[in-house]
Amino acid sequence: MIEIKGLTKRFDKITAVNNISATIQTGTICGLAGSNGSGKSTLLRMLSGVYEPDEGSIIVDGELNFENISVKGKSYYVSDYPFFSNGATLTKLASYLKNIYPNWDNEYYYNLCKIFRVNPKGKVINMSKGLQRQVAIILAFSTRPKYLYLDEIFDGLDPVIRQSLKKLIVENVADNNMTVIISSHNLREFNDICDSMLLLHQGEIVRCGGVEDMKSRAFRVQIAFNDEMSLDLFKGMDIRNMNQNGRLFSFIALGDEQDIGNHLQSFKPAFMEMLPLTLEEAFINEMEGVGYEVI
Amino acid sequence: MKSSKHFKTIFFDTVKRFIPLSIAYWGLLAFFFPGIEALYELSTMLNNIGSLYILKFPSGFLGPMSQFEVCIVCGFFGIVFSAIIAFIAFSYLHNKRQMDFVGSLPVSRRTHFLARLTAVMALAIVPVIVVTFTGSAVVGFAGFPRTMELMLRICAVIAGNISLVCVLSICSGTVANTVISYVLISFIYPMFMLLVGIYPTAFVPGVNEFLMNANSVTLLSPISAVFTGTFSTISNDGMDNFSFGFDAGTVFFYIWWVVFTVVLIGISAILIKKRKTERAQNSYAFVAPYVVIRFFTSICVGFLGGLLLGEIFSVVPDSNVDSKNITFIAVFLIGFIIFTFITHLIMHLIYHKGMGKFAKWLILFGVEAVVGLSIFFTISTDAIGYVTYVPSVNDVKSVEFSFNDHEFIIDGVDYNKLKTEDKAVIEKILNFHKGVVNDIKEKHGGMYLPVRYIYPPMVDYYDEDFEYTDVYDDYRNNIRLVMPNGYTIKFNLKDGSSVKRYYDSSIQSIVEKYYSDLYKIFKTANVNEIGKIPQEYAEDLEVFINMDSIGYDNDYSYTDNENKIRGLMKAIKKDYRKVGYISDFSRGNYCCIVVNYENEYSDEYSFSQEVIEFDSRYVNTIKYLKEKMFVKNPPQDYSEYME
Repeated sequence: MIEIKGLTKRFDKITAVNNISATIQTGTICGLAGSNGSGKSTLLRMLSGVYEPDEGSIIVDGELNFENISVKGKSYYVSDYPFFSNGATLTKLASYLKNIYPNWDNEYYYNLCKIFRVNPKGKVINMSKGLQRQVAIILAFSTRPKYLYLDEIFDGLDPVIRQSLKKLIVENVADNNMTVIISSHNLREFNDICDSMLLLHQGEIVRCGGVEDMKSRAFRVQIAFNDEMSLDLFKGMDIRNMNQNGRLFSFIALGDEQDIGNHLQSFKPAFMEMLPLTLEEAFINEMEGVGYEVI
Repeated sequence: MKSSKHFKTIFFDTVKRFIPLSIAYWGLLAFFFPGIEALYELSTMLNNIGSLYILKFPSGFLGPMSQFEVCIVCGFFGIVFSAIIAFIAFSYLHNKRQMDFVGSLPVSRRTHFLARLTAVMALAIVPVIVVTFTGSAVVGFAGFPRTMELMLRICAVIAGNISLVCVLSICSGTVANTVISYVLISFIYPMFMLLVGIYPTAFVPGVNEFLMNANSVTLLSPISAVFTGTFSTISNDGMDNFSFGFDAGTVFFYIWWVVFTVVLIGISAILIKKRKTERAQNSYAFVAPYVVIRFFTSICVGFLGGLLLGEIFSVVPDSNVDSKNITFIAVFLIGFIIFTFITHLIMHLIYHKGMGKFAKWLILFGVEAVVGLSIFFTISTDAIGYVTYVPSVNDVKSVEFSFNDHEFIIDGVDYNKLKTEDKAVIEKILNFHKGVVNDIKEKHGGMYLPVRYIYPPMVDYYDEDFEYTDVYDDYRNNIRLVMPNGYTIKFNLKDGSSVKRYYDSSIQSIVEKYYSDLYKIFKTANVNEIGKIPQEYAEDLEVFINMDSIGYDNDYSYTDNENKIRGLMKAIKKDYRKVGYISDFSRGNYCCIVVNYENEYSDEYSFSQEVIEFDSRYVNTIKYLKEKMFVKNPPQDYSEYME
């Protein structure tokens, strides 16, 4: 289990992460979403022990993670731009990490090499962005991490590899009780695999919870009346993006599905439709709630 | 997993990465050191069979070349290579992407860093050791101890060099800033130290020669130290070529570079834990070295710029010393401020890649200006009273006095130096010294600045217009000694401290005023002078007779006969004890004997010339001259000095 307590990280005058607290359960997949510069990568770097928090702490399995060799030995971090030195090949990197990570699994490494079909003798630096990601993925899973931190990992991968990666993540979570934290701007991937999500904006948590909870917190509503109705009708409801076209109203309503439905039915509409938001819509909706709106 | 395994993994990984560069390093070392030796051996062999004349090396080439090659080739390549691989090996600290990888590895930052450091040390030092041994083997281990000593010196400095790059890398945010800082330290530090040493020596009368030695000038500059520490030590006696062996300077050299290396590695081990990963690709991770480097660079350049402008623009013809001083100070101030500011600005642009936070850093510029000018005015106005300080006679236990260029040193003892505890003599010397310093102060207008023409330009010895006179003409025609090249005086005080002042020939016109009295004091006090220098060092005698009273016209005699020298010296000593020093220089009542001493027994050749004046009361001397050694026809070599 990962416990994040009052985590703050500043870069000179900029506070990248501001007093974040959250708990991520073992054996779950947590998505990190947020606006650009919201602190996702900084949070991942602190989780992986690259950055030291200015305030607060990260406790992994009851131990502080920073400069903790045993915690780091069961974690692996794939950054948004994985580093490969000039002469590095997959084979060389594997032989290096084999001596560094205590749980390195050679057999699994060879299996992964077959799945991802990367030339193990080729210079990684000369490979495409997608192939470099695949190299990073092979190495990451071969270390058999208990905690895996992936920053924009789907970026640059083709749909087949993306699907393979998702499968791999889910298998590892199911079979090995691995905990995965993924940051991405592609929320469709979260929809497929994430159990929970942390929504960040300007270094703070906007929303934290299960993916389904996030989606079921808001609904796209279309409602039409036989008579002219005033907007005052919806006073007291938590609604956004109100559009009126004659007697037809469309908006996003926040709250419990049952409560919203019952409330709107009480106005005796001629027509009413309530649809759950996609994760992306839910994300935009949440962001609008904190003043980060689509221009 | 044990950290030792991590250490080994990172160590070998680092070594592997540098294999291509290392091959070049080994190759260059091997080509130049054993390579040239092998070429020499080959040429000797071929010369023996008479087939390759062109490759003939001069006789005795091998010995010195072995030593020079070790110094120049191994030293130079060692320093350059170690700096390059250290810059590359520690560049991971300056790359955010690499730090993401390294920082997340289950290896402590310290272990990771120290493993890389050890690898760099091994990569840079092992080839020097192996190549030096191989090179020595090629020449049949000729001069082996010396070669090994040079190798040790080079290895010590390479280790220091790597640890310097190591600390700078940790403190820097970018490789460029690390390199710039390294270059600035390497060149600005010696320049600053030379300035600190040379400026007072050059412009403040009495400062004891060059204050620095090679070790202190290159303490923070391995690239300079590898050569100065190897080839020479700059001492008060000047360049001392090839000072081999474990003298005090060498011992200090080793201790310093070992301590330097250990301390910097210790600091690195502490700082690497404190260094924030996110400082990669920023200007710096720790600001202290930058402040120090900028501070010294700005002051150094400002000072040199100010002095340069002052020298160029401060010459006001036909003006008095006060107006010259004021002009110099005004020009210096403008120059100092301009050069310091420009340096400060350029360094900011380089380090910060722009003008960001420049206003904040102006505080440092203010400090630089204040400190630089304080140093300048403290020295120039003699704020500490160095120039005019003369101890009280009651505080002085003994005095040591010697004319410059008049030393005769045997086993470290200067036989021509006056050392006395006689209070009367001390008082006389103090009075003389007081007169000199007061005159100096008056002549300088109380300011000690590099203003031209405070003293008349020195006469060029080879100047066609200069009327050549030498000691012989002077004795014969003027009966007055040519002025010595300044003097050195040391007061040993009763509290155990000492006051030493050195005056060069620039104050000759002042000393001249007091010279007759001073010479008299010197001669009278140094009554045993004639007997002090062992007679076996007397090379020859020249006798100048300018007195009719002993029965001869002006005449000259010369001998290098050992028995005659001994006999005449014996007679002189006898008279000297009986009559004492003759201080009457009036023409017509004067003879003198010039004794030339040469010391060829020690490594350092020294020469001294003693002048013994006498008159008709020196009966034994005159008798000996008459009977034993008067030569009417002087040797041909000396005829040019005769009328």
